[in-house]
Amino acid sequence: MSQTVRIESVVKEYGNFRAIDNVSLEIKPGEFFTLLGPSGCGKTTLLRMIAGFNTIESGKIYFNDEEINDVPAHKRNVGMVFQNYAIFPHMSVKDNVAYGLKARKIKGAELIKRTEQALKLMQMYEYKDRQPSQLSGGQQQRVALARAIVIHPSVLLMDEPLSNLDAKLRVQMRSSIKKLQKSLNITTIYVTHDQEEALAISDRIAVMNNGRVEQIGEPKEIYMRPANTFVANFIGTSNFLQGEADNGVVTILGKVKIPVKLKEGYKGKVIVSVRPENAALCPVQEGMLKGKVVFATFLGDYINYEIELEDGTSMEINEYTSNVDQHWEAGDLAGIDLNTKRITVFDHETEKSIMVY
Amino acid sequence: MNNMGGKKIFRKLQNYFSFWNVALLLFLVLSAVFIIYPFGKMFLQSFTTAKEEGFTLANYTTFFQKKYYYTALINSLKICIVVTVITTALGVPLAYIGTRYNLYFKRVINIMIVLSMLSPPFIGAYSWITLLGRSGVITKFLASIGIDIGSIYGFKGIILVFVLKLFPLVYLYVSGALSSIDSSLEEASESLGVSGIKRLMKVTFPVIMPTILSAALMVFMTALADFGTPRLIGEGYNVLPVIIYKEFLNEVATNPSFASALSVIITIISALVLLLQKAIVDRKSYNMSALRPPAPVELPVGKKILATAAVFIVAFLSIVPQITVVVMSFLKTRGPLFVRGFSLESYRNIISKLSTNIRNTFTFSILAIALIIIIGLLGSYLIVRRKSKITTFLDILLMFPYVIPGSVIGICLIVAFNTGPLVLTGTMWIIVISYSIRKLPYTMRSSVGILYQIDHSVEEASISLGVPPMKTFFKTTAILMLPGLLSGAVLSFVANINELSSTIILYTGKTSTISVAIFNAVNNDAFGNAAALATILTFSTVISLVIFNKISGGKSVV
Repeated sequence: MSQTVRIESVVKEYGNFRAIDNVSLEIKPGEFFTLLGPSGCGKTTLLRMIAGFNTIESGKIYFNDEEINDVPAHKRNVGMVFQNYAIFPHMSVKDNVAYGLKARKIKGAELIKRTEQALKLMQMYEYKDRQPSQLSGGQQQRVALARAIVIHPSVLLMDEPLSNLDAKLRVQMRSSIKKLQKSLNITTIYVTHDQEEALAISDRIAVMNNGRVEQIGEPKEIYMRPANTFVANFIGTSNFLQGEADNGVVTILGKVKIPVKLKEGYKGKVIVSVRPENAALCPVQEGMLKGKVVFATFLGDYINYEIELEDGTSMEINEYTSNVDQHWEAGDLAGIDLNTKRITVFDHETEKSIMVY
Repeated sequence: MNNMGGKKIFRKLQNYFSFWNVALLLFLVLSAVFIIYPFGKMFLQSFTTAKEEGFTLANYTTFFQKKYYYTALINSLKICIVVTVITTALGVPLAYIGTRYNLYFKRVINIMIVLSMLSPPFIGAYSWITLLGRSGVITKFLASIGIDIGSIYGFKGIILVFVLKLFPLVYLYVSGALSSIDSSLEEASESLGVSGIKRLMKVTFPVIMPTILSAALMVFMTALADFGTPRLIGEGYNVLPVIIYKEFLNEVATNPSFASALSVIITIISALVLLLQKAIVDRKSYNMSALRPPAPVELPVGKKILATAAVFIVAFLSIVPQITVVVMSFLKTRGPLFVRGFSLESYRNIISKLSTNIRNTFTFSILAIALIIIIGLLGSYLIVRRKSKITTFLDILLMFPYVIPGSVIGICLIVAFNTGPLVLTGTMWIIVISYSIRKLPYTMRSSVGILYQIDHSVEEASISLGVPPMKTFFKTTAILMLPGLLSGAVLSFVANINELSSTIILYTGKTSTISVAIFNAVNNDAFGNAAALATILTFSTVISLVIFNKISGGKSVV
């Protein structure tokens, strides 16, 4: 049932501006695939090309083995969930969900059965006779989902579906979306700018920037092994420190030496990325990075420190409240203990990862 | 493989001949036939004469050399400027009083103002003649106690009628703007130490200035285009639409090209005014939607009575024509004279003699409205949702008749469809076409406005659920547009049943309308019939307004 979506060297141009610049992807059957990136990176444009609302200037998109470039949107059999839900305001909840089935000439008992099934699945059955204006944002979201899945789409497309919900509801909805998707086993393409959401919900993520794909991988891989500084910075937070690499050893600030597995024989200036949770503050010791605590923010489960290193670089460090005994205060001088197994090293020029895992 | 290639070509063709492309093509053809061609032909004709061969400026030189003609232009401009200044001077302060203070009878005042704005100006002219004219009711009464109010014919009368008819326009526009200023703006000014009159001059009026200017220019254009008022109450005072009418009727057999030249001149003036308005509004327009509109202030009783009186008197004067015609329609008449006692004689008369006119007015207006709704619905969609150079061009084309006075549209259509492949002169269709293209811009603007408020993704949702684009449009966006579109169309309908300027040029015996009958009745001193017909129009206008209120959920007319 579920389909493969293959995107081959796709280009979208608005005048001279390349909104999508030669993107290739392959999304596996039943996979939950996320396009993640800052606003303007082209993720929604690409989604709309798959849906058929944007033309494709060059390249090809396939559903399984069928090229769909010239298939009009209404014949692509995709389910789409929009950022603002796009519920038909002049139809009841039930009629919204039945809409796509009627378009497929499904009538009578079958129509009612499938509509009610979808509504029940989304826990909206009791609301079936309501008008959209009587629903909350979260409820409209559920109707939008019921409407998209009831047609048994080949592909489910979601364009920032959670961005209009409040924080708590967002977390609830994302796990119910994930469960729904797994139980129905629909190939799903999901667009978001929220990296936490992407990490939580996806089987795989494509991180996009300026119309290009920067990295494709599972959430863990993208977080732990970012392909370049953009990904390291966009997913989570990263501190970037200047360094030199020579013969498998990276030197930071001219004195701290860390052995790292780099590409064979790599030598030269590098950028070392350290996530805030991969460094700890400790009493100052020789041969260690050290810095002054500029600001300490107590956030309950952890404390966030802003540290100024000797060369003036600013660095962020998080320490779990339960893991540490000593709390530092602004003005304190502290040593910085790096978790060297978790650092990533990038070439200074290309900003691409030079790690060997 | 071959089969797949065929499928692909078929799909490409399908995309090319999609519903919206076909609709666009159709609209372009229609506007070429009914807008570009008539106006183009008239324009070209203005450079010809019956005597000379080929291109000539003779018509234009005649215009600027003969006093009779250029005086009409000067008169037109004089009237328009004076009317614009007075309506603005009257409308702005009254609108301020009306929106910022609690008045007695506010609802009644508003109804009077809206009603007088929507009723035809020639009824105003006609009523004031019956009240203040040579044998007017008031004139005679005053004469009997020895007061001579002098003649209201000519310049004075035209100004009186136009001011009372057009001040509501300024009033309604400015009231709208005043109640969409967020109170925080004025509060900010007060907190910075600028209050009272100074605040009014430094904050409130500058902010609504674009609205005031657009209203003023609307007044200018309406006064410039109107034919009935100056014709009826102006007597010898010639203005452009009147001499266009005279020239055209006098010379229709021999030389309509001079009327064409006059039409070109008046259209150019009108277009210049519109361009000026656009330039001002585009440059200095503040988009505001008040989160907290200013609450009307409660005045002490004495001041409240004064404020109410000021607004009420002007509003009442502007509705006097409607009251007059309704009352007169039930009076006994003998020729031009009203005699004591009430009767339904006038109604019996018009039903026996003029039922065709009544039927025509409603048939033509309903047909025109049907066309306007279809074109407004599809046209605004093309312009908003399928933005391209071609649809922008279509937008300009469809808005163009807005600047053309009714009498000019009439002449354009006659010039174009008198001979040639498509002869429409003398048929009802030429009037229906005139009504449609002339009043389309109003509905167009409002439906474009509505469309911007409707979320595009509703349509995409429908398409992605498997409903093709055309069907999607009718099942989603069209239904959502309908309330707004219909309320705009009701206003176009009101304008059409009251239309005189183009009808007077296009009608024949069989296609005469109520407005034409009123015009002729007044000219023949059949005041009773005119009053009864005008009452029908007033009554229809009121009913339309009630319908408008139902559809639009009580939002104001402007």
